[in-house]
Amino acid sequence: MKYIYIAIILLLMLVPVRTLGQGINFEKGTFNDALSLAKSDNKLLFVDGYAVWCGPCKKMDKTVFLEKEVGNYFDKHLIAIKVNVERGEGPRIKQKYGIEGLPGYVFIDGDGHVVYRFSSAMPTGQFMKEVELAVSYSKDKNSIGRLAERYKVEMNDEAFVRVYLDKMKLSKSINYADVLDHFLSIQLSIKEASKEMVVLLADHSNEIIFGSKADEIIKRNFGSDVWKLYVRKDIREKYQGLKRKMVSTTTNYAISKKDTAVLELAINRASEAGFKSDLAQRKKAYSYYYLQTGNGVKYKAMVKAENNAFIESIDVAQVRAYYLNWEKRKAAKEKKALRSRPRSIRLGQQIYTMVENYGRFVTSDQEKKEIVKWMKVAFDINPGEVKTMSNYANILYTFGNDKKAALKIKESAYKLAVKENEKMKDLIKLDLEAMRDGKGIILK
Amino acid sequence: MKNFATVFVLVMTLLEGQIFAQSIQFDKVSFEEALLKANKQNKLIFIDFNAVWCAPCKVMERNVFTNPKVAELFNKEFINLKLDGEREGRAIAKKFNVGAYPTLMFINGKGEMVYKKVGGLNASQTIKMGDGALQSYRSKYGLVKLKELFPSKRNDEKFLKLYFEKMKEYGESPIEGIESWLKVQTEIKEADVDMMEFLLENSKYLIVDGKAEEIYNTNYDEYWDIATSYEEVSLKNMKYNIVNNTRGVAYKNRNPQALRAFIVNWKELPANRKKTGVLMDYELDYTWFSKDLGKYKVQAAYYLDSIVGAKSLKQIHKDDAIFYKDYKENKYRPSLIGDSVLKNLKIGKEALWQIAAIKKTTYKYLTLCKTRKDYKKVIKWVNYGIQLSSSNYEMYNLKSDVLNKQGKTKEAIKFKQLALDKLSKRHKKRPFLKEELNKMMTAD
Repeated sequence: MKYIYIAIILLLMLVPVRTLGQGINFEKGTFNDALSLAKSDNKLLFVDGYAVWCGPCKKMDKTVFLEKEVGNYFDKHLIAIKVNVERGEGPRIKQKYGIEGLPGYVFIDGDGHVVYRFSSAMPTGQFMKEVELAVSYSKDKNSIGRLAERYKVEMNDEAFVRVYLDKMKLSKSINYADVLDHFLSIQLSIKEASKEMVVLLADHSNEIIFGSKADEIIKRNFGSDVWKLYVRKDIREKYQGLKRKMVSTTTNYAISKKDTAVLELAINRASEAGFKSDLAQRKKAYSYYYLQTGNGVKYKAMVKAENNAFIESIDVAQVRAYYLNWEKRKAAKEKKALRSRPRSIRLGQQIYTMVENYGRFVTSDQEKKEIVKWMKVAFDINPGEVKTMSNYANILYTFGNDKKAALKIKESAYKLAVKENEKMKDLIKLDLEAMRDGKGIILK
Repeated sequence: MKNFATVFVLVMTLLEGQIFAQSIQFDKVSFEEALLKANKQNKLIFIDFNAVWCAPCKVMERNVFTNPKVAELFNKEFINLKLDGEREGRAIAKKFNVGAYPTLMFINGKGEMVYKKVGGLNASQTIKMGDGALQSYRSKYGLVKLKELFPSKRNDEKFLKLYFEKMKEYGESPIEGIESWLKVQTEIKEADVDMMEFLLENSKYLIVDGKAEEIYNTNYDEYWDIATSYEEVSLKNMKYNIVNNTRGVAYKNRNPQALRAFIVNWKELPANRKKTGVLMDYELDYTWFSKDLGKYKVQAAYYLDSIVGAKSLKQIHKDDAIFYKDYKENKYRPSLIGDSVLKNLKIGKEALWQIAAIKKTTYKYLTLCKTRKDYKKVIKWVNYGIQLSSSNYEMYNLKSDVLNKQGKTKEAIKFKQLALDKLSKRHKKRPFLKEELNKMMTAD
């Protein structure tokens, strides 16, 4: 009887804490559920992009996110959701909304427009300042969402497009190369040889692609006396890194438009950024392009022989022996061994990435068998290494025909990770639970 | 039977071909003979200046000189010599001012250098070097020709630019060329960003009291307004680099004027920028370079006496022990550099510094010793040095050399043996000491 009282008191103590909702209340459902909730409640969606191994993410969870005033503000203005960027729908959301750096925060309005973003752990004051900024942007009559709608009809109004561009810079938008290019082709108010143009292009330097209007203006004016006057300090820094940035912006643009003509531009002009423009580089660019655009047939045709050659080039017995010997040296606290990592670990990671990528497009049993065989090499050259074991189990589980064997390897990987207190033990646990439930696990 | 003979011949030719094709054939002739040969065949001599202790030399020997493509080029185009710059090739190394290993040098039949590279290269870099040497030899702007023209073209802006660029390419110092070009060039305005970039790019070739320093000082503020945060650091450091480059030039050419210019500027540096080196030591080197040997003798004796008398041995050991303890407990991190610093600090920071100073100055003083009184002084300094560290070989070795010069061979042998006992089995100096010991023993 006494115990019941205690239990009741304990429960009473616990219940108010939960319902009062101290701290941020994260939604449990899917991303789309949260998004529609945001729309119907007329609130802003806050996405907390995290990974299980990310220390700063945990720090925010245990500190800032638990604070009462933060919670109150969120309850009033925002719907919050946590997204593990490496699992489930996470990778897709990360890609779609451009989450970069962890923890990465994105604010999305009910119509799916990104209103603001920022990243990394920080004290409450700074965090709330950013959040309030995001909320004010969403309530603004010139919010990014409204401007995006207006752009459809007012795109030829120079003054309007300029407002839209400025807003995109403020809200740290991404992937708006088209808008920038359109603005430059219709605008009449900014002279090329002016400080305003120099600054404008620096401000939007992440959105400049080869062959665009901005590219032409830069070609014509960079190094001119007028531009030299203004290309200074941090603006100069932007221009110094511009060509490199343009290679990646153009490549990503080609992927988003599925346009190999644009990809060709990126490849042919990569040398301007100090990259090689040779055949190997071209092949790399194309295989990345096919991978990202989901063109499995072409991707596989491109890399299959290369992958096989890579696997065959590894002298399994020798690399494995080196690994085992390194483990021994490490156990004996040999300084050199403690400082170094054997090549097999790097090879194992390379193989895993290779298999993950290829795995996205395998269809036949023959192909599945082949990639399991590749991954087996990684497993064989790193006997007893947690990460490789775990990765091998993933591949075996997803593409092999012996789920039990996969589970067993995953279990030993988890045990080992716990024993060695590996950072990735939480991640392995998640996969392990999914495997036990017979669910699919997400690779990439 | 005929078939057998064919096969036999084939195998033999293959074998022979392989022997010749697979690695560079180094001639076993003297430098003079090689010169004659080069003259006769209208070829260049390639010299690989190496040293017993030089690891990159060994790597090149094993991996690069055995590369078939490298071998093909070098065997076809050059007369190849391999010289140990500290043994049989000592005189030639000195003649061509070889100060680091490996030095890879190309010399024409007249004994003039046409191309040089310092430091280990891989196979493709080596082939590039070979091609560069041939180009220098055959082109109308080869190194020899350019050097010949230089004195008469000191007002020729175009020539001077070509001159310093080619000097860099051929592995010679472009310092004089750059200075001359800066004095007459009309291509770049001195306050322009392009000039700033030029100076930053060439900062290791600028010296004090010249046009470069003048441009830097005059335009510093304007450059500062242009520089990115990264460039700001280089811009600030350039001032110190210019001073230190001057020291490099002074020592390389053993030039007293340059050393005086360095000393004057070095004195002005803030304390944290002149941690290396001691004024008295620089002054001594100045006197030595000026060939004022009488003065040197007096100065050196004064310097060494001041080292010996400055602090008691007990105090030095005590201070060093404190410094070592502090470093080990608070600053030491396991790494290649960290370990080697720790090892040295264990011997003693001040002790090691004093040993180095005594060694350097005493060897020079030794060449000037005439009277018994002179030798008595030397022995006093050396005996003091021996007490600085019981584990360091250098002072024992020095004492052996002093005794040997005095004709006290028996004692000299004893100390050489003591020095050897302090060296680890794989110490790079071991073979030298061993050789010296053998020489003394056979002379005895």
